[in-house]
Amino acid sequence: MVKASKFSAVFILALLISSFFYIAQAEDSTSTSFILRDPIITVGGGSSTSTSFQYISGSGQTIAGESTSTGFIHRAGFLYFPIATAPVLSATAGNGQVVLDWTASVGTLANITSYDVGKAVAPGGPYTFESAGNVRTFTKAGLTNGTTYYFIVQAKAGILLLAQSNEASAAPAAGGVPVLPPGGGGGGGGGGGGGGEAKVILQGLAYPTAPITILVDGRVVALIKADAEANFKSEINNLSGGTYTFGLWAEDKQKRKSITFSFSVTITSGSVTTINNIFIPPTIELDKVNLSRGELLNILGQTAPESEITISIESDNEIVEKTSASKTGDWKFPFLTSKLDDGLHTTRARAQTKDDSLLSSFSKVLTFSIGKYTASETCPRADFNKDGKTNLVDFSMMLYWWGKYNPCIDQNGDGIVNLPDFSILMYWWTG
Amino acid sequence: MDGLIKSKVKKMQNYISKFRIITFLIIGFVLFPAVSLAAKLYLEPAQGQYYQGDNFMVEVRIDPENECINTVNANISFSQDILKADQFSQGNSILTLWVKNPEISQDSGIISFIGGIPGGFCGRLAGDPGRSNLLGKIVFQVKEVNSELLSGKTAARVKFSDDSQILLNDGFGTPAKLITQNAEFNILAGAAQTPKTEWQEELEKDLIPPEPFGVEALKNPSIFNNKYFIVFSTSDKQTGVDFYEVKEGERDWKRAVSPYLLENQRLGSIIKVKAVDRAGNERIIEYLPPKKPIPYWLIIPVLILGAVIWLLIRKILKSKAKK
Repeated sequence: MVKASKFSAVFILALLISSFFYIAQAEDSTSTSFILRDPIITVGGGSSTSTSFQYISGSGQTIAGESTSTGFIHRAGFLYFPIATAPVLSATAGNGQVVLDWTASVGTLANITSYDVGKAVAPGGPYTFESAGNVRTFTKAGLTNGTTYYFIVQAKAGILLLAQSNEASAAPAAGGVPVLPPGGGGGGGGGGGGGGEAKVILQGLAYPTAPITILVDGRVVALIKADAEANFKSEINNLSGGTYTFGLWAEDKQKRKSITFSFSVTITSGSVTTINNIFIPPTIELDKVNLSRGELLNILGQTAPESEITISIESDNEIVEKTSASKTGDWKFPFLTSKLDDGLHTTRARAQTKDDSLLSSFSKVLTFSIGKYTASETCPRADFNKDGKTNLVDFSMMLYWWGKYNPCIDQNGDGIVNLPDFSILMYWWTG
Repeated sequence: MDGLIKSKVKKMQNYISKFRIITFLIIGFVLFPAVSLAAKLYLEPAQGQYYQGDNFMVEVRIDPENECINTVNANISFSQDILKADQFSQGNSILTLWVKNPEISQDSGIISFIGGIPGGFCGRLAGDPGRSNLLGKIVFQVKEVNSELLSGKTAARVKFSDDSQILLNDGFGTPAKLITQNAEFNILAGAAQTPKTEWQEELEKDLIPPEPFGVEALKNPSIFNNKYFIVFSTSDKQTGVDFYEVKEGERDWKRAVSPYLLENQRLGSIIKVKAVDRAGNERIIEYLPPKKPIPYWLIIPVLILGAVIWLLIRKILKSKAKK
């Protein structure tokens, strides 16, 4: 009986000891060349509190992990080192600035709290860092036009650096593209929830007193006029929000039409977005299209007053000439064709404002011939390139001339290439 | 290589001079770089993990990479044994004119479309809050297939075909060099605890009708035997335009595409055109066609009759005055 009671006491003691061993069993930490078996951590008893969380403890680790509430984080045990996915960075050049945007970095066992932007003037660095905060877009201003800058973004959780993006580069340039000023897409009274109609303000330069046609998604929405200094401004209302393609073309005092200057922008509903620095390309005309070699070809048009004009003659080798526009914006360049071989050639021009702040994109392309070359202007059945088919190439040419006049592509002869012509092209489509 | 191209150009130019024809295509190819910088077509997301019954969207996007482009011809193949392409949403697309509306062939596993941007697209502007480069969204459903086919996980691929094309906005229809970035998704056996319903959520959010648009009636000897037809086109920034309907006067609504041959060639009644988006929101535009001009053969008799009446009245008035 005594033996039995002794046995019972030993058994209970053994059970108790073994149960302690069981309680102490913890999660192993492993890697390919290392194992930390049954690690034990002890936390002193007591309590920790915040406004929304209370933790009363005296515990050992069993599983590594993290418990959080609004105002409290408890990290227990042998935590794995936190990691995060690398942000994917892209850079877009503007006038004296570069706009960076990146995908969100997602942390494991940590939340990303901020991003640092690094800038360098050579690939691979060294980078100068600045904090961008917990955002996914950042505009780096004060940059030199024409210099290529290299950027990276680092994702951080508190002070811990967890991930680094790819390197993206961009070279800021004067003008060329319209720029949305920082914060230009904000405001609009009410905002939130995407309600309300959006407004877009378009402003820039054309030619003195030139009538300007504004298109949204290929549809004419406004007719305005530039002032005597060639400045224009227009408001487009009643947009629902989304990605819109805006197009602008102007007519000069000789009734020459510019190419349609087009760009696509995402407009937030209920907001006011200002798009400035628009510079409508110059008009261009040739005084003759069929010439003998050595004959003088006058290339002329209109742009903003006193702009510098760069004329490009595309031949086997490109020839670039420069001239200046007058105070009325008129420009003319006498080109001696002895520099060219017999054959077909094209020319186009672009303008840069007197203060070098804006550079337009190229004007429309004009074709001229040296020698025995002439043009045929009839294009039946929307076969603009006369290859016997009405297909993608013809459609592309129609888009190029959209909203303007071209005797070949203006199928219904109403003086403008527009939706009816497109419909006619649809009708004759052969693929 | 340059010499070879130049000699070909010379030969071509001689040929042209004989036949007095300008081929814009040749100018586009020869005087401008025939193959320029590469434009990129890509899919987003490029990776993902889905279960049977999941419904998810893949965005088709473009990066013109410093070029200006105006036309996209995309042919996209997908693993039709695992995925079902339910829809192609044109919502918020930068393509505003569609030569070929998106077509889905489930049997061959091909999605194709051709669209364009009037005036061209030269990439994202600095400061644009969005990316503004979406061409469309493909809505996929993961098929309920025999789980033996999905042993563990299976890859479902979505890729651009080699015959996809992008054209430059250069006035000559020059093809841009094209690079593509495809997508591959892991499909897991079994159903998710909460199946993904991304497209359904988009439809529920869309309460905005298609954009305002114009309707125009015209006739042209070259089409519809010189009969009157109407043209129309719009876009929808959320889920995309699903279809159009036309109602002439008191007649019934009819499904229509532009150009639409009018049944009533007398143009006497109001024409209504309805654009309906994928979520069922609709915008109706009313159009009153201009009165048909008086036929020229009627003008001359009317003028003669008017002149006769005027002379008679004058004669009567004169005779009365004499009395």
